[in-house]
Amino acid sequence: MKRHDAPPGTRIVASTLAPLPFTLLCVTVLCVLAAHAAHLPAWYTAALAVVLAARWWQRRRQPRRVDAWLRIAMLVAVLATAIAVYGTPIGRAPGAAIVCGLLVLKVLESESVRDARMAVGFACFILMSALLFDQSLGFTVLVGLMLLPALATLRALQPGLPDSGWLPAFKAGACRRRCGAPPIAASRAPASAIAWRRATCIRC
Amino acid sequence: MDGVAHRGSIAAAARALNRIPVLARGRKPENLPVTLDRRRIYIVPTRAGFGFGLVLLVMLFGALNYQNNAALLLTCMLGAALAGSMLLTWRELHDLTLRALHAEHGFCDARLPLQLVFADDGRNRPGLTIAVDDLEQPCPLRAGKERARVTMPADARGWIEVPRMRISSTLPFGLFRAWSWMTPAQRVLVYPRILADVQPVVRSDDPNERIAGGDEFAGLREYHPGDPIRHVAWKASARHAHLLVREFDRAAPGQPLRFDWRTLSGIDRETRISRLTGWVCDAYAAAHPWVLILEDQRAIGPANDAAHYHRCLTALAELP
Repeated sequence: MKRHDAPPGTRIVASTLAPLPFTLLCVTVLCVLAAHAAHLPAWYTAALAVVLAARWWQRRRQPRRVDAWLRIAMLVAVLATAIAVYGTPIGRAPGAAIVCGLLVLKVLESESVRDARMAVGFACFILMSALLFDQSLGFTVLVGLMLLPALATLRALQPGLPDSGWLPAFKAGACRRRCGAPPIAASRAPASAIAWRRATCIRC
Repeated sequence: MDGVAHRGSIAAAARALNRIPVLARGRKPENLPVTLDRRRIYIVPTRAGFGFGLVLLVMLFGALNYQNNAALLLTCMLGAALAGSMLLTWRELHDLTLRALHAEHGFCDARLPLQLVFADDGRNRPGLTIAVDDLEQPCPLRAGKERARVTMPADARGWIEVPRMRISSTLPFGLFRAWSWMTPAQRVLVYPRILADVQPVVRSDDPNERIAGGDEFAGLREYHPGDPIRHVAWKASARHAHLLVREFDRAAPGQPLRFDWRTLSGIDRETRISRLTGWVCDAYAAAHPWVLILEDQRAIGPANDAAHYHRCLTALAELP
């Protein structure tokens, strides 16, 4: 059921991306860039990291998608860079460069829970592809640890976490301990005030 | 068009769910308390879960194709983490016990609030969601505070059965949905719908002075079905396209209002009940004493307190 279809006086799960999961998503993507940094041009990795940081800063101030033309320009730039550096877009190394660029592009347009889930799935795949370049035990363990922010992002997309602090997202059974308004008080508030309350753990 | 298609797909999914009953437990009304044991909790992947399964499959084929053990290990670790999350999802519902259900007061055509009291087993259930109809309502529970509030649709007045409730959770990753059904064998009272388009008619002892809401002429308003013919201002109506009726000020303070079934003639039964309900609500809001006279001449009141208010609304709701 869509938000505007829900009758007043009821709560519904919000579908917009909250700040915590978005930050964790940015950390996940940063880990992916770090995993691929060894075999990508340093300036390319740095440029993607700067774009990612700029997106994180922009969304903190104004939660909306980056302009479509800017995203198209970046898509062209990513493909052009891969061809310019490697001579072809096909192959393992140019492929890794392109998917890293596409992942950052996905973050630029991530505004909903669904976007974030897709980005996390994509990030897991790209993390695996980093192991195609280096199979050493240490690197494998490092990449394995990089799955943690990805899973924490998935956890943070679900209700029941505290409003502040990122650590509880790394614990699967974490639940918010305190809350402001109990449901009875909420029920007496004007319907418009409680209609679209985010589905966090209001009972805690 | 997308919205219509989306709503259509939701309705189709709801219909499909309703046809599963032979396989699912918890559909027949049960006396409280009801506990969700392992036999009646079902778990299925969500759409995101299927998507992630596809990603895992691609990762698996990629790792096998390149004969890369490290990538294979990573894929298996991720797969194990996601498979392990199924247990956490299932545990959200396991041993959940609904001890009591209290209905609050609600009117027809609005949503009726229900208080659900669960047994406190010392566990947090932050991702619990309850759907009475096709609306998913988040009801997070915590150790020590095991009450939840949901709303149910109320389409008819009187005593109605609490519909089947679908309890579900998608914690911790949103990739699997554990769900179960509960159907408490309990009835709740729904007050009639409120209709407040006409002012109350109060019958005076003086037959020459039949007054509406009071005895001072206050003005003219448009005619509504059910208004007494004697209140129609014929001369004024002749100059307008619609009939006009005379309105009067409210009765003097202290004198109880009389809301009589018989004064509402010429309209259907449900409209009568709704109009009386509207008058009762108005009088209660204004703290003015009133008497309600029902179809069988039974008079309730006069009074203006909450008990009288609920007695009147219950009597109106229970009318055949």
